[in-house]
Amino acid sequence: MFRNYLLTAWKVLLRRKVFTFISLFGIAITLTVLMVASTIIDSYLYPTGPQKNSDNFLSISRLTLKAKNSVNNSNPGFKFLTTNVSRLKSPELISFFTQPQSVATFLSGIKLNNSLRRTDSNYWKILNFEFIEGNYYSKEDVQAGKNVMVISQTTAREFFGPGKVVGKNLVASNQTFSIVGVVKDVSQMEQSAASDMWVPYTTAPSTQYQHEMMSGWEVLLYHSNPQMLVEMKSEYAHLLKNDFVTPDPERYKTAHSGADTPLERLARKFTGSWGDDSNLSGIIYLFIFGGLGFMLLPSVNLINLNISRIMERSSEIGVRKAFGASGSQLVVQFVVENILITAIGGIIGLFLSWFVLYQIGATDFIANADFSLNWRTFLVSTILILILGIISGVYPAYKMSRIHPVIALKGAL
Amino acid sequence: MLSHIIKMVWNRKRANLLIVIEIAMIFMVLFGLISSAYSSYRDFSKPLGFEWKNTWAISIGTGGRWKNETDAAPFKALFETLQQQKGIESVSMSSVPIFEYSGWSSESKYNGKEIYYGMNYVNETGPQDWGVKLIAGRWFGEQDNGQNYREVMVNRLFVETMFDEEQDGLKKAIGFDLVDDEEPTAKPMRIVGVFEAFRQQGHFSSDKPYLFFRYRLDKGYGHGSRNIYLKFENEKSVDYEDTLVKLLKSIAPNWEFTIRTWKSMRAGQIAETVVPMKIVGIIVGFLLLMVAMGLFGVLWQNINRRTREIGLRRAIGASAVSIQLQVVSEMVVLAGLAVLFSLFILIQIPLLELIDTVTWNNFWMSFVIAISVVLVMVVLCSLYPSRTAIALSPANALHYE
Repeated sequence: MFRNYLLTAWKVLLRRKVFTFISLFGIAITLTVLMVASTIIDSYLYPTGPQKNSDNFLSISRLTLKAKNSVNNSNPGFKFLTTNVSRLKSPELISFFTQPQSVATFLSGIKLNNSLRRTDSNYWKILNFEFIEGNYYSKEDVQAGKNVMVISQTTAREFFGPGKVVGKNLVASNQTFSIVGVVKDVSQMEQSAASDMWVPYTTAPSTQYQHEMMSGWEVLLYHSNPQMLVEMKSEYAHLLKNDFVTPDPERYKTAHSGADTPLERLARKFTGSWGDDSNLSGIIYLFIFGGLGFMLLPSVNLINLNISRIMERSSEIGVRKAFGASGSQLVVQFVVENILITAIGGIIGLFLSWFVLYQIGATDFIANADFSLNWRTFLVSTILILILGIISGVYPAYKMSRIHPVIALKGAL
Repeated sequence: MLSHIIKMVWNRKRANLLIVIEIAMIFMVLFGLISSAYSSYRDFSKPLGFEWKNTWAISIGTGGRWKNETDAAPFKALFETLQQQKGIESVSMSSVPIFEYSGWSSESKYNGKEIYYGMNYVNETGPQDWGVKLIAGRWFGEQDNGQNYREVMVNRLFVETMFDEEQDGLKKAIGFDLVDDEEPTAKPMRIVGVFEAFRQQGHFSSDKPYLFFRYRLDKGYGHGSRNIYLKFENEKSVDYEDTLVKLLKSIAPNWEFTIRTWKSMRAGQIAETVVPMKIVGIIVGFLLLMVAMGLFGVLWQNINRRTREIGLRRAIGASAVSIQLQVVSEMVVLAGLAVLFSLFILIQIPLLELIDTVTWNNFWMSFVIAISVVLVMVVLCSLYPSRTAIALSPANALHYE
């Protein structure tokens, strides 16, 4: 039976090519936009670079400190980390590191802008950087405040050209660093890893950072067992609620923050939420309603087209009804037909998305990003195709099934 | 004629309703894009109030919070060293960075009048160096030292908000003491001068009342001043940046210096606004094309169905042009209904002040632009179907099956 439906659908598609083209165009464009958006979000949630083991860690990137009359929103500061976060028992590893800072370097009259992070040594144990040459700096290097540096492949090439670079010196913000390792470039989408240069945090020119409760730092909490994330999360929440240590209760009385999974971190960013709640439900609603909202206009467009196309098939409908086909059978048939054309549009959309994503990668719109279609993209596309196919097919199918066979056979609606 | 068309539209109301909904949706999408583009354009075309050419911005990182006791002195040393450098036309500073989206604002009540304004600490000659235009009073000067008031300069909008009558406002403002109603005993702020405009956050920020405090190098200021600006006579090559950072580091070795040009910061802000708009524009463009083709398809199909009706009209003497006109104007009427329906929904936005960027200032203009785009689309996609309507001769059309 389905085979018959598909055959009929195929014949209908080939009959009025202009209409088929118009339908496919709308479907393909709609699905391309949604697929590109979902692939970009996907590459954030399921990184393939240094953060690929994102199941094993949580990040703390936003902190709110409140006092009687003031609310401070910022990134956590080093003092907050040493006095509070370091007391957590459940994580196997804790890493402190700064947000990337921009450093300018001058090379024979050319200005190079690079980003630099100051990190501890656990950073390298938690994240899976791929070393091309050399290795990361050790705990001892960090403790001793040694001027050593890990740089990315592209940065190494910019500064030294091709060849070995470990052991060479590089001057960044007036400090001379000896290079100990070169890593593969990191996509900008991997927010805890992305940078061009990494140095021990103890090399900071001033020790002022040690006294700050709030300023440009970030934390990763790691456990080898992904199930332990829940416990780390609740321990952190508990610590802030009941056991927050503050150097200055006048200025900072209570602390509000959360240890986030990648999705929660994205939720904070999109919904601008600070404090204890990452507003996870907010972002899920945003994705669902945003996606459905975007499909609304194309659906109405398809519904209109489909309704007017029923006309040319009125005699077919009349014959089928006269021979005893029920309304629901006709509805199923038409919806299946509509899903078929949506699927064809979806396949075109996949090719278009691949092309658009390739262009985004090539223009370096998001640095070092590499968006690839994977099984999750296909899954999402299939769901989108089904949704679009069903919402744009059901109403016209219902209308079609209600036509009286006598009128349909006469061909005048 | 019109009533006749409306009647025909009404007779097929069920089928037409969906078409109206579709046009209304694309209209609202278009309106959203146009109104945000238009409001950005309006902001962009307002005068900035200062010159951005050939200026470098040095932002200072002190590695933590600003501590005036220890940080004011090295800041002064930096400032004065830079003033002595050859080739630098002027050195100036501000506490809140210029051409960045960070601000410092206050909502206060002065002399019984509530005002919301942005403010900034600037050095004595800063505004002059940036090319800010003085329209009344004078710049800051030595005569303000040790007085029983805090000297301030305000922009024209501040004066207009504070003193409602525009004509006398400027005269009245000079020498006026702003007394904070909440702290009437504190030193009043005396307006010594009025300048035309100063949009610190750049071209895309809205113009609001603005106030300058005077920064004194010897005294400093509690929340810090981390921005120094260098103005050059001509465009300076980046080579100089290296020398400059070395010079700065020799005075304040523990501080970090980031140097950017106002030119590049301005370009960055423009790109930040224009790029998302371009992406949305491309998507909306495709949606528009999709809707146009969809309407074209629907109309074409409907015309085929009405071949006999059209044949009858032609048989009793209607000209080809009037048939075409009928097809196009039916579509235009549908678009008109869609626009009315959208107007009903969209007008809530400025009425209830739902979205900041959609105000009465740009509402009607955006509305009219969106209407013209939709009209052009509707007319274009009904032209071809209206031609097919007259392709058959009346004799053939009458017994068309």
